[in-house]
Formats: sequence, C-alpha cells, structure tokens
Amino acid sequence: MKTFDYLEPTTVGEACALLKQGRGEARVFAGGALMTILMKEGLLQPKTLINIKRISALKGIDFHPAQGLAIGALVTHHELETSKTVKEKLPILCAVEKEVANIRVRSMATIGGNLASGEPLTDLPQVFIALDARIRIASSSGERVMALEDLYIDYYQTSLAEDEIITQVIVPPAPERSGIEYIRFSSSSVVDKPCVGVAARISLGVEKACQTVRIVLGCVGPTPVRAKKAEAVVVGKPLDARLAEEAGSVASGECSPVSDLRGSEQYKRAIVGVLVRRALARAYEDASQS
Amino acid sequence: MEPIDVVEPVRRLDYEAKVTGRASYLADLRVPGMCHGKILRSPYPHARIRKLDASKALSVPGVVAVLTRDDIVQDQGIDPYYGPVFKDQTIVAVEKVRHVGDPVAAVAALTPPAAEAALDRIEVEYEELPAVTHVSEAIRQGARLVHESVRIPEHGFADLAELKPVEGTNICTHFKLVKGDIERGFAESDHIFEDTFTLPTTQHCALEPHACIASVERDRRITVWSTTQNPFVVRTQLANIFKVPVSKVRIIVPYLGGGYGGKVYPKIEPLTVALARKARRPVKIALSREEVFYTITKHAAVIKMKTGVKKDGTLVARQCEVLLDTGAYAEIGPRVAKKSGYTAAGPYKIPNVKIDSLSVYTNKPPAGAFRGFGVSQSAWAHESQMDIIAAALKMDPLEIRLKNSYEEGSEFVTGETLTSIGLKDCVEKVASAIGWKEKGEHRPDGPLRRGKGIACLIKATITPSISSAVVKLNEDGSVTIYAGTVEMGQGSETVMAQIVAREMGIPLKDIEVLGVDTDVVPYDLTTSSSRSTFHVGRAVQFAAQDLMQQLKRVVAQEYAVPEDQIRFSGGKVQLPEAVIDYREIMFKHFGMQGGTLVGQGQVKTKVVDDRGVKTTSSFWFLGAGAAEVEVDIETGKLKLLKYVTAVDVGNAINPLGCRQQLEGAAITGMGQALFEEVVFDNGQLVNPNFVDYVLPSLGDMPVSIEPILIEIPHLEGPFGAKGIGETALIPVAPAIANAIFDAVGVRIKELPIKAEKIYLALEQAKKKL
Ligand SMILES: Cc1cc2nc3c(=O)[nH]c(=O)nc-3n(C[C@H](O)[C@H](O)[C@H](O)COP(=O)(O)OP(=O)(O)OC[C@H]3O[C@@H](n4cnc5c(N)ncnc54)[C@H](O)[C@@H]3O)c2cc1C
Repeated sequence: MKTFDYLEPTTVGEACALLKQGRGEARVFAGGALMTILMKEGLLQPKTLINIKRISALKGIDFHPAQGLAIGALVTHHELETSKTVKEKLPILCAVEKEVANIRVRSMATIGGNLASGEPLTDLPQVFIALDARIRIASSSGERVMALEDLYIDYYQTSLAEDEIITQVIVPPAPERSGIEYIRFSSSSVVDKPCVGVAARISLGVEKACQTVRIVLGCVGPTPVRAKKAEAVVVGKPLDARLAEEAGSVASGECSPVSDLRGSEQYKRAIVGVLVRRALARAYEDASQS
Repeated sequence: MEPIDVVEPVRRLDYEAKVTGRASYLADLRVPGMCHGKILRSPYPHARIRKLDASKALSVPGVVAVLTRDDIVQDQGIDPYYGPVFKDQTIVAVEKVRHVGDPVAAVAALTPPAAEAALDRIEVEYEELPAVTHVSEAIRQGARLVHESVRIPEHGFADLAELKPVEGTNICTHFKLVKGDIERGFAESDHIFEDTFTLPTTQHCALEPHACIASVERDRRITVWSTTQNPFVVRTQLANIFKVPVSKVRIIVPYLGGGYGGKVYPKIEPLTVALARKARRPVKIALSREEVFYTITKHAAVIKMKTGVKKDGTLVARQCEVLLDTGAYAEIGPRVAKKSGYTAAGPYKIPNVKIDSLSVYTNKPPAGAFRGFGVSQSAWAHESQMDIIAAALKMDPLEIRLKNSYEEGSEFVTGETLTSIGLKDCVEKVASAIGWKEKGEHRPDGPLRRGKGIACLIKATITPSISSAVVKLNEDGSVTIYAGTVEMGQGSETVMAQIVAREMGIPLKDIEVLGVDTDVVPYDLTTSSSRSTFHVGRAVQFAAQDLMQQLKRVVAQEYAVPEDQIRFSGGKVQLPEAVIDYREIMFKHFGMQGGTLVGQGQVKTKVVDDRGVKTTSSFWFLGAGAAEVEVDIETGKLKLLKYVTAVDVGNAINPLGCRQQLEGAAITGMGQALFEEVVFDNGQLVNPNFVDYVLPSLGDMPVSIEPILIEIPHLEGPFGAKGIGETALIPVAPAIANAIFDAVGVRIKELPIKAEKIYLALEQAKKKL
C-alpha cells in the first residue's frame, strides 16, 4: 500500500472543503470495507484519505411522519438491521440487512458507502430505489437532493462530484396498502455477493389493482435498473399468476447481465424472471393484507 | 490387547490458549535482527526469462539483499534443484517460469513496504511461451512441454521409486494397476457403463497463510521457523539444497493455523533460507492470501470410469483412468496419483480391475496433498457411478453398495487381504440415520424437491513410514512427551497426552506435550495422511510402556520386590505391602529431588512384512456419508438439509475430538462439493481471494451434521485407534450429487455443483421430454 495523508474532519463543510482541495486525489473513507480492499490491491491510491466517521451529523436514524425515514450516511448495516425505528416503520430493511455480506462487513460498512460506491454486486440500492428513496448530498458550495435512481452512471461510477458527500438517505412514507419484497439470490454460499437481487413494490389503488409498481433489478448490469416495461405489464391491473409470469419474462429482457463467476448471462436472465415473478406475488399479497 | 474402557470426552489442551488469542503463531514471531522478505512472482503461466536485472532494487532505501537466479546457480554451496519426488523445482526461476506466481526473485529489506517497493524495481524481460492449462490438452501428442527434462534424486521415497516422468511428454508419473482380466470382465458383464467425471482445482484455505523465518549462521547452521506439517522432510530437503548434514538444520514449528495437506513438503523454506544466507541476517516471509493460491492447490482431475455389471448388480469389471492436474511441479503429485489409483475402483470386491492413474504437468500452480489425498477425486467418480448403475438397474443405491462392498477378509485390488474393515457398519449406520427407509416420501412443496443420497470409501495411509517418540518421567512424577506431530488444529497434542495418561495412570494436568523442534523431538515422517494417532500415538504408547518397564526394574531393585509382584494402577505402583507413587520412586532411586527416566518408542511400517505379506496400507480408512438435500427446480438452488457421516475410527481415544474431526471434514467436503473452484483464464488465476473464492459459511450449514463413530479396534493402533482426519471429507460430494439425482432426476458429473449446473441439467432434461 502506498503512503497517504489521513484526515479526520468533524463537520460536513470541512470534509467537503478538504475534498475540493484534494482535486480528485482525495477520497472519502467511511466504513472502509471496500476502500481497504481497493487500496491493499493497489487499485486505488488516493493521496489523501478523508475519514468522515467523526462527523456526528452523518449519524443516526430519524422518522418523521411527513418526510419518512431519514438514515444518516454513517449508519452501519448492523445499525440498520437492529434499529427499533426501522423495524417498526420499514421492516423490509431489517430483513434485507440480515442477508447482507457477513457480520464483520455489516459492523464496519456504512449505508452511505454502500450507496456511493457504485459497486454492482450489492443489495441496498435496488431496495431503496423501489422505495423511491432520495439522497441528500452536500458539497463545498451547498446541498442538493436527488432521487437515488439517478445517482448511478456505470460500474463504480456515480454522478457525485469530487467534493460531494452523501449525507442522508430519505425514504418517503409509502402510500396506504403498499407491499414490498426483496429477493437476494446467491448462486453459491449465502455469504457470497448476490448473483441477482430483485426488489418489487406494489401500492394498490381502487379495488385490487396495482397503482404504483416498482421493479428494480440489481447485479445484472452496470447500475441497478428499473424494469419499467415489466412494471407497465402490471400497472392498473390486479396481479395474477399469469401477469406475474409475464412481468418476469419482460424484466429478464430489460437488464444487461454479464457472465462471471456468479453465473452466465443467460442464467442471470432466467433468475431475474423467476425472482420478479416471486417478488411481485409476495409484494402483492403483502399490499393486499395491509 | 488391553480392554477398551470408556473414555470421558476431553477438552483439548490447547483450547484455552487458542480461544483467548494467547497461542502464538509464526506470524507473531520475531527474532533479533530479522528483516522482511517479499517475492517477485511471474505474471505469466509460461515464459522464458531473457534478462533479469535487479541492480535498481538494491538502491531502494532499506533493502538488505536481493536474491536472483545468479545467486543460486553460481553458489557452490547451493543445489538449486529440489522437490520431494523429483528435483524439478528451483528456489527462484532459473530458465523458465512455469506458472503464474512462480517465484522469480526475492528481496530482503528492513520493512515490508521497502521490500515491496524494491520488487517494483527489478527488471525482468520475459519471452512468453504457449501455456498448457488443462490435463486433457497436456497429454496430447506434441503438447508444449512444461519441463523439457526432469532431475531424479538419488534417494527418493521408497514407495515411489518405480515411478518416473515419461520423457518427451507432460506425464509426470503413470501408475498402473491390473487385477484379473479386464476385457474378459467386460465380456462377461450384462451392462456396461461409461462416464467421465471432473473436479476443479481448489485450495486448502487454511486460516493461516504460509510463513517462514530463516536464520543462517557463519558455521552454516540453519535455523528455520516454519508453518510446516512435516518438519523432518523439510529438514532433509534443506540439508540437500544447502549441502549440509541434517544435524546442521533445525526446524521449529509453532502451532499451525490449519494445514489440510497444504503445508507438507518444502514451500517457501528453501527461498527464505537462500535469502537469509544472502542477507546475512534472519529473514521472515509471510505470504498473503493471494500468494497462498500460487503456492499450492488441490489437483483438478478428469476421471473416466467404465464398469461392467451383472443384471443383479454384481460388479464384474472396472476400468479407471484418472488424470490429475499436478501443475507446474511434481511436488507430491506422484504419490497423490498412486494413492488415487489404488482405490479408484472404490471399496468394492471386483474381480477384474484396470487402473491408470497419471499425474500430469500443466502451467498452473503446483498441486499437492489435500485432505483426502487423491481419493476425494476418485471417490467422486466411483460413488457417482454406483448410483448411475443402481438407477439403470432399478436397484436401491444402498443395496448395490452392501452387495459389493469390501468386508473383513476381502481381497484388495493388490491381492492382499483386508483386515479391520468396518465399512458395512458405516454404510448401514448413515443410511439409518438419514432415514433411508422413508426416502421418497416427501411431497413436493411448490418448486422445492427433496432427495437423499449415500456414498462410501476406502483409503490408504502412507506406508512405509517411521515415527518415534520419547517420554520423560521427571523427578516430581510429571511427564513430558517429545513427538514430531505438528498440532495444527486436529487435537493431536490432547490425544498424545491422553495416551500417556491412560498408559501410566496419571492425570492430564501432569503431562506436557512439547512443541516440535527437530533438534529436540525424535524423527517422525509427517503430520499428514491421518497417520499421527495411529503411528506417533503408538510410538508414544511404546515409550510410556518402556518407561514403566524401567520403573518396574527400579522398583524391583530399590524395594527388593520381584518384578512379577509389581502392579501399576491409577498412577501408582502396588507392591505386596505398600502403594507408592512415581515421585517417591524417583526420589528413592536418585537419592534426591532430581533425575530423569527416559522411555523410547518407535513404529516402523512396511509394505512387505516379515512373513512376506504385502501391506499397501498400515491401516485402512473406511467411512460413509449420507445427505438430504432440497432443490429449487426453478433456480437450481440447493440446500443441504442434513448430513450424516460415519467413520471406522478403530477406537475413539478422544470421542469429542473425533466427532469434531468428522464434522470439520464434512464441512470442508461441503465446500468442495458445492462452491469451491480456483478459476483460471489462460493460466491466470481469476479468484485468488476470499471474496471470489467462496467457502462454506455458517449460514450454509445444514440443520444437523451428525457424526457417527464406528469402533472396530485395530490391533496395531494405540488402544485400537485408527486415523480419521481425512475420511469424512471424501464421500460428501458424491453423497450430495446422489441426493440431487434422487430429488430431481439429474446427474451432475462436474464439481462444484453450483446452482446454475443443476438449473442447466434440469433445462436439458426438460428438453428431452
Ligand atoms: C466481503 C464483502 C461483501 C459484501 N457483500 C455485500 C452484500 O452482500 N450486499 C451489499 O449490499 N453490499 C455488500 N458489500 C458492500 C458493503 O456493504 C459496503 O457497504 C461497501 O463495500 C462500502 O461501504 P463502506 O462504508 O465500508 O465504504 P468505504 O469502503 O469506506 O467507501 C466505499 C466508497 O464509497 C465512498 N464513500 C463512502 N461513504 C461516502 C459518502 N457518505 N459519500 C460519498 N462517498 C462515500 C468512498 O470514497 C469509496 O469510494 C460487501 C462488501 C464486502 C467487502
């Protein structure tokens, strides 16, 4: 590992200013789960490491009936998994977190790092996107809020500028009669990175028709993708087995998986089809019962 | 033989030090003046080294020495060629590099980063050569040669003396075994089955990567601290390489953080010693996880099996061709191939057998010993094929095994008679524990299907071999054991102490098992081949008995009692009129608080005993496994629901330790069956790390793994005990594959059985309908 400067700012403003000074050669260091691997392997050799863990403004989980759930960027996977507030307001997140990586990674790694890294084989982005989550971003010149869906550009590439930091994830309250399901599929050990991850959310309108549908596919392309054509198959109708099946097969054409250690392109497409069908059915059932 | 009494489960002696983190491992060690070594490794699977210039590396601040081929070739004090079977390895590459990660040069520096920085400054010009990266390709006529010629050592292993590389080919060794008449056997068969099975390269993944500290003194005395499973073999090899008598080489082995065969035979010791010699100060090299993958692997294999059977399931003839990918250097591959060959036809009575088992050079990291030693490869084939045969004959897989399997007194492929064979007990016990009778009763649940499978095995231990032990009685009645077994997690320390405790009737707390230091403990061939309890344990037992004989003589003399009236019991000596303890005897004998009595024991096994009887193995490993699985037919995802493993342990000296060994082996077997594979792309390793090389984790464990100990005492083992370290791993993969077939009717012949393979097989089956 090459030597580097190491800084521990205590405010967001300070951190952003340092990033700006770094001119692309400074990097945010949060949980370090990914950063330490990249640096040890020599894939990343930042001149300056800006550890943001002392910035208390980035910690904590809040719930506000109007705005929804606000999760600080430094909240760890384990904190999310075990948070009482989350368990009560959005239990799906706790369930997802139980399956993320392993307890060592969950104890170290942060939600901000997970979302900002642009790593393709992760779980949270698809779940948050299905929930219409937004992220709050601070920079040396101010603040902005954007839909998480718009953050991703390519493998390991996001639209964050050099001096920007994700400060918070905001999950708006879901409409009445909503159901969500996430299926994490690993093609070998349960702790292996996911091969495919599918999140589906359904909010019901009149009668039993699906009013809002989100189908988000993870690990099957450079970025998480919304399967909008598949969503359209279901919108406005009550879900039945045939529709779910059709949405599944449409969705498997809406992604761009590559063959790798975790499965061939064809296999991943097939799995997308199965998971979308299963996730929709469960989300629908969940919505119908709530 | 002594009566076998029930033994209390004993807590391992090393457990507290290990769970509290106080146990020290090699990576924790420092010696005065030590510097740090790093290795420059080949980026190519096969290349000629045109030019190598290390001059710039020397100018990096902190660098003490750089070792290149010039140092080892020009130095009269070094024989650069070594290897346990053939001398086909060099300390650093001389003319060619033969696999990605092959050591090319090494740097010693005051700090690890300085050494690393210096590696970047070594200039190497390679001429890339075409690489052979698969056994089938390597044995083709005209295939590119990994070795143009191979040096054969003068004094090799006795059991491998007849095996030589086949000149002008990549065949490292070719072991042949014939029994009966294979062609006549096939002619007499009602059905013939032909299948090919494959296994990928895998890695041991011991928690502790290899590490070594070497120090060379002016008088050429070499001291090495190493993570080795066979210090005495490493000692011999270093003595040969550095041209000194073995008395000048001292190997010290701390606790090992796991071995599994990955730490037998020289690994980084020759390089570390050569670097320390050049640096004129002690050097420590600790490998990274990635480097471990370049250092040693498990043989990938392609196994062709042709079997002839009668209508009633009687096996008549079996022909096996086992191709083992031994990588760039023979290492111990020739013995792996031989051992794989002996039992390639499985634990069955078959009148006509023909076996060809080859170790084959390729441009991949060397493959060597791996828990199961060639048998987990061959068993994958024979146990899968047994079920293929059973299915075709509409027979119960359990029945076809019981019908054909070896039993006490059966004739082995070599013609010798098998004794101490608890195979059928193992098979029957696992079948009953998995609920074989209820097989097929489970109703499909949505896309989920359940099935059960069974598999069994026979395996040999290394024979001939030698083990010695010394047991010292101290003046206070406490005892110290000197033995060459390396404690690497298997619990040997505890078992050795238990043997002395039982023999001498003293509590465990009064017994100390010394760590391994070749200057201190007597010779032992190796901590591998599941041999330590049987061989070293027996030597320890003999040493304790020797000690007691001496005590008897001392007592007879000092107390004027005839020897035949002296009895040992509960750590005391019973005389007709008195009971005395060891401490009193010592005091009386030496006349003061002091003195030592030394007992010795030795075990030497032979391939042909004094009566001319052939013995391929000093004892046989027998075992069986049964799996219950659940398969999702839409995704191919498999869940192992239950696993049962039974092993003929002879007699369990430490039943708790035995059960843990069986469970651990089953878990390793599960990884090998379902997940593990070193993936290559043109000879480059794609996943030499624990993010992409997937090991089983707690979340993958079945609800229960049930270890069953079958106790059929072996006449020559200490208190009847046999070795058990490897047995339980071997049947796991075929038992799971057989259970998958039972569940969903598809046959997987290639490991590992990832979800996608099952999925594809199911899709294929659908198309055929
Ligand atoms: C072995 C392993 C298994 C994993 N398995 C899974 C899994 O199953 N599912 C899953 O979802 N994830 C998984 N991950 C990802 C993991 O959850 C981490 O979230 C992620 O790797 C990085 O989080 P971190 O806090 O450690 O970030 P770091 O490693 O500190 O940083 C990662 C990247 O994000 C940037 N960054 C961090 N925080 C911010 C911020 N607030 N604003 C802007 N940029 C920021 C850093 O500069 C860096 O580029 C796994 C990771 C590992 C190492």
